[in-house]
Amino acid sequence: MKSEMEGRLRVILALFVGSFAVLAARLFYLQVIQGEKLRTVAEANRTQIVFERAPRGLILDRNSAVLADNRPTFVVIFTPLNLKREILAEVIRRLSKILGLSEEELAKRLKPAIRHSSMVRLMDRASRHIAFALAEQKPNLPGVSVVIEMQRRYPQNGLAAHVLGFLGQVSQEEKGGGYRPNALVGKMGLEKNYDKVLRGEDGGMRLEVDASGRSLKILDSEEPSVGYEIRTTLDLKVQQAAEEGLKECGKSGAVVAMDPRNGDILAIASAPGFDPNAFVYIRGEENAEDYSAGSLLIDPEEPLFNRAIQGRYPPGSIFKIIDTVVALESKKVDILETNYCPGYYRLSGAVPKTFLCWKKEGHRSVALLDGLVNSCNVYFYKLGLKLGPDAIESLARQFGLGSRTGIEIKGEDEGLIPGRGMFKTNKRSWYDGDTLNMAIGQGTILFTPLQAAQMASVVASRGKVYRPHLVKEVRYPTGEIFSRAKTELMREVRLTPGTWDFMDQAMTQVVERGTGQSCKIPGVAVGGKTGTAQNPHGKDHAWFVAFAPVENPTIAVSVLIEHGVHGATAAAPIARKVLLAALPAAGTASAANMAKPSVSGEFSGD
Amino acid sequence: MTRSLSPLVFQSQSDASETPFHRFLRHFDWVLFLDVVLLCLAGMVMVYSACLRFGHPELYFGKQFFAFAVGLTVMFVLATVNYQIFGQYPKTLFFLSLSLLVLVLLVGKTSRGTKAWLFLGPLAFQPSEICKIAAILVVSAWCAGNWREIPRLKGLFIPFLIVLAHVGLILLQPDFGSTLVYFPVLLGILFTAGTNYLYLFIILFYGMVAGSVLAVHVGFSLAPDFLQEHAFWNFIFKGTKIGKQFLVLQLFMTGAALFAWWMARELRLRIPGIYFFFIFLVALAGWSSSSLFLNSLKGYQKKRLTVFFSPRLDPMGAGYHVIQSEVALGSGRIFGKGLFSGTQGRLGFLPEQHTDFIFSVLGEELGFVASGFVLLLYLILLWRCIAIAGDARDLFGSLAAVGIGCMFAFYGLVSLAMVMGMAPVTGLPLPFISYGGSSLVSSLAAVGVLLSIHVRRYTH
Repeated sequence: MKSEMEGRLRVILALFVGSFAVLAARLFYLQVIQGEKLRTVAEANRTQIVFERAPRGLILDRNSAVLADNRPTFVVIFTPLNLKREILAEVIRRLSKILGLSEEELAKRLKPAIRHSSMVRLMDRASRHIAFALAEQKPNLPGVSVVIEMQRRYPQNGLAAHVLGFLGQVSQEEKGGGYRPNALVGKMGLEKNYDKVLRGEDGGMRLEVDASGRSLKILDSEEPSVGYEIRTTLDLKVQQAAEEGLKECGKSGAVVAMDPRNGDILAIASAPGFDPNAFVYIRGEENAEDYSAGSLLIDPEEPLFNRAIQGRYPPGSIFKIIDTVVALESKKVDILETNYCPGYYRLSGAVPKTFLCWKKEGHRSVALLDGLVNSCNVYFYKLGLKLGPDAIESLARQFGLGSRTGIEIKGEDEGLIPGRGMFKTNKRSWYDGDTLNMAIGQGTILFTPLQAAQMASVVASRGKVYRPHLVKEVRYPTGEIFSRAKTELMREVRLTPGTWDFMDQAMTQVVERGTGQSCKIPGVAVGGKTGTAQNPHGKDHAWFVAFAPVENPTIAVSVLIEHGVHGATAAAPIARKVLLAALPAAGTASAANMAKPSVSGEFSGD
Repeated sequence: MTRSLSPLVFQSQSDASETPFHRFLRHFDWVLFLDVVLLCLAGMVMVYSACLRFGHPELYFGKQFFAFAVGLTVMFVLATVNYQIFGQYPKTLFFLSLSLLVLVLLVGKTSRGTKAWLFLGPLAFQPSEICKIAAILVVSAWCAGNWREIPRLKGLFIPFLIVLAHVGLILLQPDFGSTLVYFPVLLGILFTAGTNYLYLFIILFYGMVAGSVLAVHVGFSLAPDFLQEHAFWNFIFKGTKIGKQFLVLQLFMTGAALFAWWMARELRLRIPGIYFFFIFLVALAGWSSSSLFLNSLKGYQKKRLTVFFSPRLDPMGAGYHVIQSEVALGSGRIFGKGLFSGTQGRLGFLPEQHTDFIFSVLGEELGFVASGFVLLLYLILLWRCIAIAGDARDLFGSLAAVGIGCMFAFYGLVSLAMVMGMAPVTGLPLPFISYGGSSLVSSLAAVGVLLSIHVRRYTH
C-alpha cells in the first residue's frame, strides 16, 4: 500500500517537473531567444514619433543657378489637451472661420486625434495670412499650434519641369522604401530618381506614450538633416532658349541639346509644359486656383508627358544622315555617281508601287552630296536599294538608335529600328518597299528626340557614343562633393576620317545652301539636317538636328515639333535659338543684326 | 520517500530532555518556509512596482504586507495545531465550508458581477479561498477513512459529490475561475489514494471531450467567414452546440464504450456487467457537467478560452493582453529593464498588472534571471508538497499534502502559462505573488497545514 502510493507520488512529481520544464523552456524562448525582437516591439509600443520634415536638397544647373529650393511654409497642428466638449466646439467654430474649412470637416479630422490623444496635421501649407490669424487668436485656440516647415519650391516655375519632376504623397507601392505615411516623394524626373539622395533625413521627437496613446514626456529629439544637393548638366540659358522657342512656336514638341564631347545634357524641353509648384500650392493664397494640379492630369495635351524621352516619332529625312554614312563606308556605291530624280520612284514588282519625292518636279540628276543637301528622296530610295536594309540597320544600331540611351530619368522609350529580323512569322516578310521607307526614315522606324540629338552628337564627335547624362555631381549640403558623374563612352563608331569630313561638309552645306538655311548663324559653321515625318494622325512632324561649330563642335541639338509640317520652317529656327544661346561666339554677333534668311516656299519642304 | 528530501532537518535523533518547542523547530520544514517567504517578498516588491501606475503604490504594498502578516500568523497557528483534528471531524468541516458559501450568496458583496466577497468590518475576504482548503481536507479525510473503497468505482462518488457541492455553490456566485482548481485537486487526491487507472482515464477522457467540444465551438464562432465558405465545418459547428446533437454524440460514445466492453468479453477478459452501467453513468455525468460548464461561461470567457489558441485572431480584443504579456516578458530579456522601470506594465499595456499579469511585470523588470528563479521556487514548493506527502505519518496527511500540492501546481501552471501565452486568460492569481489578501492568506494557511503535517511525520 505504502510503496504503491510512493510510486503514484513519483508520477505526480514527474508531472510537476515536466510541466515546469515546459514553462521554463517557454520562458527561455520568450526572454532569451525572442528577447531582442520583443524588446523592439515594446519600444515601438511606448514611443510615438513626431516628425519634422527635412528640407530637400537643392537642384542646380551647371553654373549653380537654382532650379529647385525650399521655402518656409506654415503647418497647422492640433494637439488635444483634454479639452472639454464645449471648448472643443468653440475651437472648431473659430478654426473653421480662419482655415476656411467646414465645421463638419474639421470635426471629422479632429476625431481620431482626440480619441488617440495624438497630434494631427490640420493644414499642410497654410498661407501667411492664416498663420497670422491663428497667432492672434492663440489664447482662444487651445491645442492649435503653427509650425514652420520647409517646403519645396521651383523658382524657375515651369523651367525644365519634365527633368526636375514634382512631389506627391507617398503611394501604397512606394511605402516599402522606408517612407513614412504622408511623406512627400518625387513622382517624376530627378525628384523621383534621386529621391533617396534629395530627401535628407527627417528629424523629430520621440514621445513616450501609454497604452491609450497619451503622451507623457519627450524621450529625445533630433534636428532634420538637409538632403544632398544635385548639380545638373543643364545650362539655364540654353534651357530657357529651348523653352522660349517651343512656346513661340505654340505647338507640342521637344528640344534636346547635348554636349558631343561628353554627353552632358544642356537642355531638355518638352511642350506643353507644367509648373511643378502646382503640386505644392498653398491654401488660402492668391492664385491658388491657377495652379490646380488636378487639371494637369486630365489635360488632353498631356503636359506631364516628357516628349523628349518618352515621345517616339518617325525621323523622316534626318535618318538620311545614317544612309549617307553607310554609303560612304560601302564599297558598293560611288558617291559621285548621279541618280536621276523625276519626282517619283516606281518600284517594280507584282504590284508596282510609286514612291514620291517631296519635290514634285524632281531634283534632276543628283549625287550623294546634293542628295543630302536637298534631301532628295528618290536618290535615297535608289541608294537604299543598293545598300540593302541590313547595312543600314546595323549602322543605326551602332549609333545607339533603337535602344535606350541610358539617361538617368525614368520612362525613356527605346524607339525602333526596323530590319529583316523584325518579322518573326511567315505572314509578312521584308520587301523592297520597306527598304525604301526605311531609307527616308518613314514606315515603322521611330526616334525619340533624345536619340536624334545623340545621333547628331555622334556625327559631331566623329563616332563617340556617350551616355547622355543629367547629373554632374551630387554634393553634401555643405558644398563638398559626394559623387561626380563620370563621362561614359559607351561605344565608338569607327569609320574612315574621310567619311566624317564628308558628313561635316555635307551637313554644313545643308544649312548654308540647302533645306536648313533658317538655322544659319553668321560666323559660325553649323551642320544640320531637316526632317519631315509623315504622320497618319494629322499633319507631318517637323524635325531638325544640328551641331556647331562644325570645326570643333560643342553642342548637338535636336528639335521636334509635332504637326510642325516642315522641318525647315518649324524646327530649324528653334535649333538656331538654342545654338545662339549656347555658343559664346555667336552671342557677340547680335541676333538682331542678322537678317533672317528668307526661305522660299518651295524650299521649305524637306 | 527518503530522508534526503528534507535536507534541513537538524538531527534525526531525538533527545529525551528536549522541549516540545525545540522538537518543533528541529522537525520544522525550513526549506518550504524560506521558499514561501521568498516568493511573498518578491510578490510584495512586484506589487509595489506594478501599482506605481495607479499613483499610490505604498497603499497596495501596505495592504499586501498586512495580508502577509496575517497569513504568516495563520500559518504558524496551523503549523502548531495537529492537522489530524481536521481528519477527525470531516462532516463538521464540510458543513461549515458549505454554509460559508451559502452565506456569501445571501449577504455577500457583488463586485464585477460576482457575489464573492464577505465583509467583516473593514476586512473583506473571499470564502471560496478558504473553502477550497476545507474541501481538500474533507476529501482527503473521506478517502483516508474509506481507502478500501477507493479502487472501486463507487468509491469515487462521495469525493465527487463533496467537490460538486462546492463547485455548484461557487458557480451560483457566479465565479467560474474559482471552480477550476477543484478538479485537478480531486484527481490528484484520488490518484494518490489509489483509484483505478481505468476510471481516471475515463474521467480525463470525458473532461477532454467536454473541453475540446467547447474549444471547437468557440473557435468556430470566432470565424464566421470561414463557416460560410465551408459547409462541412458549418455542420460540425452546429453539432457542437449544446443540445440534442451533443446528446447524440455522447450516446454514440457511450455506445462505443459498450462495444469495447462487449469485445473485451468476447476475448474472454472477465469484466463484470456492472461496469457497463457505471460507464454509462460516467458518460452521463460528463455530458451534464460539460453542459453545466458551458452554460456557466460568459461570452468573454468563452472567447478567452479560444483566443489563446491563436491570439492573432483578435489582436485588439481578447488576444491583445496575451500578446502584450508576451511582449512584456520578452522585452525583459536576460537581466530585465531594471526594477520599477518596465514600460509595458507602467504604461498600461498589461491588464491587471498587479494581479493576473504580475509575473509579466517581474519578467520585464528583472529578466530571465529572476523569472527563472521564481519558477524554480515554485518547483521547490511543489517538490516539498510531494515530499511531505511521502513522509506523512498517515494517509490523511499524505492526501492533504498532495491536494495542496495540486492546488499550487494548478494555480502556478495556469497563471504562468497564461502570461506566457500558453493558456487562456482565466484570471487566476499567481499564489504568493499576485496582489490579493484572500489568496495570500489562504495560500499561507495551506502552507501552515503542510508544515503541521511535516512536523508530525514521526509516530510517537
